[in-house]
Amino acid sequence: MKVPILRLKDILLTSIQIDLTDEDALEFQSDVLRNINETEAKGIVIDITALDVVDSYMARMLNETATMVQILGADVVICGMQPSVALTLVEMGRELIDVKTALNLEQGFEMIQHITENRGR
Amino acid sequence: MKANDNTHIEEEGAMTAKKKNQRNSSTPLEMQLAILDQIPTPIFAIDKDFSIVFMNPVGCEWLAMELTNIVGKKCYDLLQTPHCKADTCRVQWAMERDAVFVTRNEMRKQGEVIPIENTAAPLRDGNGTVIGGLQYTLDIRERMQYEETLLRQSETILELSTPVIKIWNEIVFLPLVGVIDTLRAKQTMENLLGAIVEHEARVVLLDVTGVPVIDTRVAQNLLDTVTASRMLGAEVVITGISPDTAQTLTKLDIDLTTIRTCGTLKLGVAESLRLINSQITAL
Amino acid sequence: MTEITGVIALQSDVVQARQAAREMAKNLGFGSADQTRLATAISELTRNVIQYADQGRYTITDKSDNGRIKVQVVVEDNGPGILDITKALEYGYSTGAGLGAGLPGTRRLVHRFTIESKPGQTRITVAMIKKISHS
Repeated sequence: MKVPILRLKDILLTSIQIDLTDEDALEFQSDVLRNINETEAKGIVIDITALDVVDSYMARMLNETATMVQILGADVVICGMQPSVALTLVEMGRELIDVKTALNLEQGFEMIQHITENRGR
Repeated sequence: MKANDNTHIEEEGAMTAKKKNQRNSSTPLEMQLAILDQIPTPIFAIDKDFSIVFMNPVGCEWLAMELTNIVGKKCYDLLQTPHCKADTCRVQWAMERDAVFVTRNEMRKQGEVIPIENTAAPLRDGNGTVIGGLQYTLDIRERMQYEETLLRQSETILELSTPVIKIWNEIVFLPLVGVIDTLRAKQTMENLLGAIVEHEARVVLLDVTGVPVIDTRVAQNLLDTVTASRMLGAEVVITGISPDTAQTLTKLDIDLTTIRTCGTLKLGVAESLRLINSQITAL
Repeated sequence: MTEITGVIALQSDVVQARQAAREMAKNLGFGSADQTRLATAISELTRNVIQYADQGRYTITDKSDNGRIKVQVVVEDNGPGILDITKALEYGYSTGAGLGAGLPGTRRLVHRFTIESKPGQTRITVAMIKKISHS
């Protein structure tokens, strides 16, 4: 597992620290889903602070992962997008869709707790 | 400093000699010559073979030569400018095309190479036939310094005109003023996103009262700015959209329903505070 | 003139190409936003090579001259080619398993964008340019 996934009570936390190839990204997606399933976590925060390039493939992968996680009944927050990355995605027309985003880990955590509590689970 | 050779003005041919004679007939000839002698910038004339037939005193000073050593020599040998003997020589154009040309060039003034603006015109005889060329030259060092200053100032204005200010915990304010072209829009978005990160802002208050024209392109820029800000976890409140603009944008079929807008800045501030509170408190 | 070139055959080459592009842009003095734009564009283009052509080549060159800095990247392959360039440049067009050729989006990121394509050869040239102000 190239990208470690940590657990804090019923929230999962994962931070993508390396440049992922397409294969790595798919593996990451599977790991996330498997973890959500096995731990019965209510939410996951995906930290992309270290990604200085998010191209259309990665953007799609993040979007898809969020959708899949939600189908499994959990919530997702993506945090830490770099300003240059946000800029580039918008200019390309590939912005993240329907995924909640937070500026950093702290805000991300607050947000995921807020959402999961409101879910009443 | 290198002179830019990117300015030239074409004008219809000079007045005929006849008309000129009529105009100056009231001034004594000696005075006319004295006036010519005292013009404080170089003036010279050449024949069609580029031999100098006239050079005024200041022109001689610039060349640091005696008049006797100047008359009869080829202008390109004495002046040696980048345009000399090239197909960009303006006095050649003037003689061939019977028109006036103004251009930037370089020339030696008392040993030093300086940027100049040169005007070249056709020289005619009493019948109006072109017999050579007439030129005058201006030292434009001061003018170029001024242009340089203007350029730097406008760059500074560009930077200063997209200030993002933190007005509250987690709220940043961006008052947009003036015409937003693509370059400014990109610059503004970069500044804003940087400020969101720096101040850990959750709300951006964007006021467009000072933007005179909001057309499709500017509206798209605003939409992009909102989208990018959201990806950094910040919500955007736009204020200052005039009734006219609201009308125009709706008619252009631009979907602004996903953007939060408030009529006035005051309402915008209130909305921003509300958003902050509602994000913090768990219901 | 500095030039970096490499093969595009493995997925890791996509990462390498975009990192090299970013590095060159950074060294030439481009800002962080432009670096990211270029790196992202290269990522898209090199990935397309792997997706549609199996193998290709990238070349990153410093093409600066007085008055401006310029970095140029050429991505080429010997694949089947883009059959209809006009269509490929229409927003939203994509063939293959839906990964998206992403050409219109990529084009928006860079300052210069040229495609030459015929069956058996495709070459895409992009460049980022920055004017230097005189002082």
